[in-house]
Amino acid sequence: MGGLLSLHYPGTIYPVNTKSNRIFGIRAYKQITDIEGPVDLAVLAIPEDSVEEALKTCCRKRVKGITIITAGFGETSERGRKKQEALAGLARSNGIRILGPNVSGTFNLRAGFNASSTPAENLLATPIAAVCQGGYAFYDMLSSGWTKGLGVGKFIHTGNECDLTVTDFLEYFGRDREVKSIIMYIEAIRDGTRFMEVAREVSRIKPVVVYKAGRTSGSARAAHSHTGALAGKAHIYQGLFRQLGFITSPTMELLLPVAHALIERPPMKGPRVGIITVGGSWGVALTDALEEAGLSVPEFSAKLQETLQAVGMPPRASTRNPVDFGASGLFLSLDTPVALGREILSSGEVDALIVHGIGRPGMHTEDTPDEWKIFLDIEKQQIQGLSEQEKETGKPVLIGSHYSQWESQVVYDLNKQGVRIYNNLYEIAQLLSLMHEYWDKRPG
Amino acid sequence: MKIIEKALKEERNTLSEHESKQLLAGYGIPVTREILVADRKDLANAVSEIGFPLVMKGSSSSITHKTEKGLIRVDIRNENEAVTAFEEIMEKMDGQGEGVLVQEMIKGQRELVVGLTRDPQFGPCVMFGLGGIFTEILKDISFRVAPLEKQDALDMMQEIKGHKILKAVRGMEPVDMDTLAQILINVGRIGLENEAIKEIDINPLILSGARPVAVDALVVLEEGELL
Repeated sequence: MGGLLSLHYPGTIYPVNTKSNRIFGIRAYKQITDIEGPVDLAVLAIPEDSVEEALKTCCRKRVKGITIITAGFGETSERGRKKQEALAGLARSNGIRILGPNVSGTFNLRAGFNASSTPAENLLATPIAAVCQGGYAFYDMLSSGWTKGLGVGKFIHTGNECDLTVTDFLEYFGRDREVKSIIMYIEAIRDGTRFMEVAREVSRIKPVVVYKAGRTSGSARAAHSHTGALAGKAHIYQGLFRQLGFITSPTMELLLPVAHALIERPPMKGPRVGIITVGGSWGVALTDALEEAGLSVPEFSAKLQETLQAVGMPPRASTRNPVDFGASGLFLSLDTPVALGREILSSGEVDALIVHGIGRPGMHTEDTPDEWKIFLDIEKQQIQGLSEQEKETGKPVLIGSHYSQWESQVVYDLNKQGVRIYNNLYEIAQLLSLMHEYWDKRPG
Repeated sequence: MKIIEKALKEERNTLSEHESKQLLAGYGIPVTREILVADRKDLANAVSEIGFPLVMKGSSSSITHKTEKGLIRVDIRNENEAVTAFEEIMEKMDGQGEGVLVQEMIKGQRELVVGLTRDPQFGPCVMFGLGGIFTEILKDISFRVAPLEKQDALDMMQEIKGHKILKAVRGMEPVDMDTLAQILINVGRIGLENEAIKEIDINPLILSGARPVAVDALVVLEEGELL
């Protein structure tokens, strides 16, 4: 109820409760059949023993769909599994679809619908949709992501899947024009054949980023051959997702950032990366991370290096790639970093540019001297200019800082201005590598 | 498939090496030239047809782990050695099995593994990887769900850590990628077209120059399946 009200749901809410006649100030009903008008969706957040009876009254009321938040069914016991199958059968014979049981909630921020326990203030309405076989952990990721400008506009947790499965929602979001990319958290697929068909179709139209949980499981059946013994679930899913055109996220934490990067950044058409750093070690470590991720950091041609020198690199600075401004970078003129970025991106020698090591520590206070503020302001303008090179050159530019937005005023301000700042070398390398993997197979 | 029907009627749940290779050959997969010799008097002909050097193996669908049981002799270079090997192997098999497989010896240092397994959700899956005796230790493998397109086969070959073994390395020729891709595709087809087959192991698939050849094979059948 809190979720629904926090988003000012534009439709009608009918609370149903045997004990109270007002919930959150809205008139409540003892039974769903007491409600005068039609009801489209029934959301059941009631004890396990009451579910069957409630479902029957929903059938009498002829609702179109039922979401069962209640846990304790198939996920805990064989008896529970039989119960949920019976519920599904009952609903199906009445033409009603069931989501769950054991779901944490659903939301569609674009429609003002939030039947989850997270207040809408912590959710960002992006053109990304999530189809998950896990629930509560996602609210952590989404609320935290909200502070960094990451989120999903539509979210489904499928729970025990006694009726509707991830395949059904993958198909739905595949057709939904408001959805530009899809993230999935999968533990087990129950309708393999249909899943493969739907997945192939959807991944042709928009990026699908998946995290497969439960990697360490052996084959269930006794194997007579080496192949049987080696065929662990994790390996098979890994191959399958590639075959279906999905992008596999190496970690749960990267699911959202990858889905955003695939729709926000221009295509990564090749594996070559140019690096500009404030702090040479960032360049070395970043090169390692990129090469481990299968990308390359090519040495710039003599011609390009001469151009960079001419544009205004400090005399003793290296222009081989990575290009490090070092401490002197802090004192470059306003235009120089942007000009350097432009030369590198339009040289034809790289497919993406990373600028790492920006931002100084500390948030502004009333005691911050004006000279420092001006100094940081110049850095912000330099970074803004560099990130705009993306539009100019059609190549991805990733800006990185070791500082989070809570540690650096520059990073905080840039974030507010809409410039995405990445905080982690491994993450930056993985993002570019997955972007390359995605665009490599598609005409950009 | 006749071979499968015969095995099932005899209540066996595996095909012998020779039967397995006949099945694979039926699907266009390159296998070693070999002749099954049950009777001493047929040995001379078999040996001259296959040519030296050759390999001899005890053939039986009920004996596994042939190496450990001393049922394999390699690098046999003349008739005398062939006769000795034949008699030793037959004695070790002690009445079991169908005879001795006289097989061409394939030279090649690169050993791959190709297999088939059935996933309860996704159906027949093809496996590819680094093979040989350390297959299960290396676990350098990739999978695709059948039916495979050519691109799937090419992708799965590049996915293993040791994929560079397929190129021109250390003076060896690069593998014929088209043939290798076709082998992967066809193993998938075997799984799709024969529900009675539960698992397949082709290990090793040796690269003889550019040419992949199945040097040993095992086909496991579903228990209790009578067509």
